[in-house]
Amino acid sequence: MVELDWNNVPKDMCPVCKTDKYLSPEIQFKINPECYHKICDACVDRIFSLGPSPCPYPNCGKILRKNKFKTQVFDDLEVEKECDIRRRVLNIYNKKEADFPLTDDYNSYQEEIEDIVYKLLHKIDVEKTEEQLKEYSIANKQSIRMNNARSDQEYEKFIRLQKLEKQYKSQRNRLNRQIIHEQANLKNLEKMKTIDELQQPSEEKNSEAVIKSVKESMKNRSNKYKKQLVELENKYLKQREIIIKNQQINSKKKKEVKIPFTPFNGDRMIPMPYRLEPNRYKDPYMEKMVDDVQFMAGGYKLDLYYERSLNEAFTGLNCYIEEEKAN
Amino acid sequence: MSDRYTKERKVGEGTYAVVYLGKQISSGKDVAIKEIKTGGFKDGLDMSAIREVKYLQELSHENVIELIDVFSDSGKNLNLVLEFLPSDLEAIINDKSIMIVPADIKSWMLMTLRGVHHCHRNGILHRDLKPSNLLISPTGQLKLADFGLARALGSPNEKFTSNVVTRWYRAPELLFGSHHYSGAIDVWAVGVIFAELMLRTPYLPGKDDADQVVVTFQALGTPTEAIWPGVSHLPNYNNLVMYPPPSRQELRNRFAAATESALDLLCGMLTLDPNKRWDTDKCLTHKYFVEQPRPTEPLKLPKKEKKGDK
Repeated sequence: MVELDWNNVPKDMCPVCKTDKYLSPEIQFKINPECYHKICDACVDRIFSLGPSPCPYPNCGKILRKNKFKTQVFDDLEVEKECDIRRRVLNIYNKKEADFPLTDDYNSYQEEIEDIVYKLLHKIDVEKTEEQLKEYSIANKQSIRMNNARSDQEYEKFIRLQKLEKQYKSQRNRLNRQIIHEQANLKNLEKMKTIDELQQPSEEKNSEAVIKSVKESMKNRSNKYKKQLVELENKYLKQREIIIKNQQINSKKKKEVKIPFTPFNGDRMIPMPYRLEPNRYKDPYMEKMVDDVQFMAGGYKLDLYYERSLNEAFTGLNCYIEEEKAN
Repeated sequence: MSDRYTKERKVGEGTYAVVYLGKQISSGKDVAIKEIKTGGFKDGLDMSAIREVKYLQELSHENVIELIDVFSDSGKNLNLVLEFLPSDLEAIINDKSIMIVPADIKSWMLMTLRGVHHCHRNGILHRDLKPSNLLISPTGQLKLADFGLARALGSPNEKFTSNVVTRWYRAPELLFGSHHYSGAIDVWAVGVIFAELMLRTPYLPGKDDADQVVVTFQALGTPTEAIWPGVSHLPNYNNLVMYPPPSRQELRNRFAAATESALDLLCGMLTLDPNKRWDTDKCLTHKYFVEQPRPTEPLKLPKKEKKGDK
């Protein structure tokens, strides 16, 4: 038996159990982003089901977990690696162009991302770069979460659009099929009519009238379907517009509110039975007391106290309890 | 006296009161009856009950909870009959299944500010504004409630306690232990609520009083004599780590959904210096409330029933 060259595993063979694609065509290969060593699905199940274990490749020794195994997407492992790294970095560096006031800022942000990806991929300053990544993710925790939520929303929007389109297409196809069906019926009828004419020339008039009316109704029906088709398309376009504009599907057109906006709800100036004239009332005792840094820094306002006192003094004037009770 | 109201079932219990859902017999209207635990008047009546009655009976406004009546039953307990409001803003913020759009936030801010404005023009400080004290009526109207910490603006020789307002909503002058403050503390709390509505998570969640100082100034910068004259003379102004104030861009990043004028209003309400902080007049006349989108009509605001209420 030939020793297996672990550094150059054959393309269609699992190096652990030596299963070959030729003999068992259902074999599937998995890789783990820790070391990107290829192992077949069955071996992954067997080795890693009981918890994390070291990679079976000699001289690797990386501890792998089953839930991190995935199917290889790209043939070239370098591409696969870069995609994984990029995905991870972009999950943290997830700002969009619109988040930057200047294009230059955005460009340098992109540059930074590329730098990090390049360094991680080619194992240059890995520790330092990881540190940088970590620092950034801590410093921007809030905005990262927000941006992720935003992209989730966009994804959701995309899914909704897709669903709408699918629905629209299936409805359109149904109507189209019905139209074709009606047209086929119409043709059949015409054929029947010719046969009828040939068979019973005497009752020509009568049968023609019958057929004409049937034909008429068929035409009407197919016209109706065509109309429905147009309506459907309009409805679809409208709903699509709404989703794109990020509104609820059912929300109706906003009516322009006619009432002007009143910040105080029309309740700002109650004519008070008194008026505090600026600089007319002086209380030297209090003014001296308030002229203190403690009062100033705390935001205390003597005028407000005067106002409150006046309010207290005058509240109840012009108030007739008996009358109010009667109401 | 209690023959005018029925108590139906208990809906909540606080340290000094039990709240029942009841009905006004004459009108069949739902009411909340707050039964104050007096303990046989051994230590006198609880301060907050007195405050609540005193200030609520002065105030009558669409956005302030209505005190309908006060009675004592069988000579033992004091009962406050309040408007029954089934929901509160905190429940709405915490229910992640509810979608809040900017127009909803605007509407709630508008109603909150109107309520606070009404208190302030009557010389009353609420001193405990937070989402769970902003109750929501079945018609969507937001109302300030829980006036247990409220007080009137006092004369300069009265010392106010600085230990008011739930920690996360406490203004910097309170954090510094000022004894002479103004309605600006309520505006600050409204600003923090505004931020919380936009973020859907508490904006300045300090773990304890010391941490609150750190969290607040990390987010908004440490005040200095230059931006807040006199601040260094306040009792607790010492051993502060100096954080730089946030740049406009940092705020934009934090509040990604906020428009420029929303940020202006937020910064106005969260101005560190209480003398420069906007008052409710300035907030309400700000262009944030005028620009599109228009505030949602109260009836159309998202709603949530409190657990246990059906």
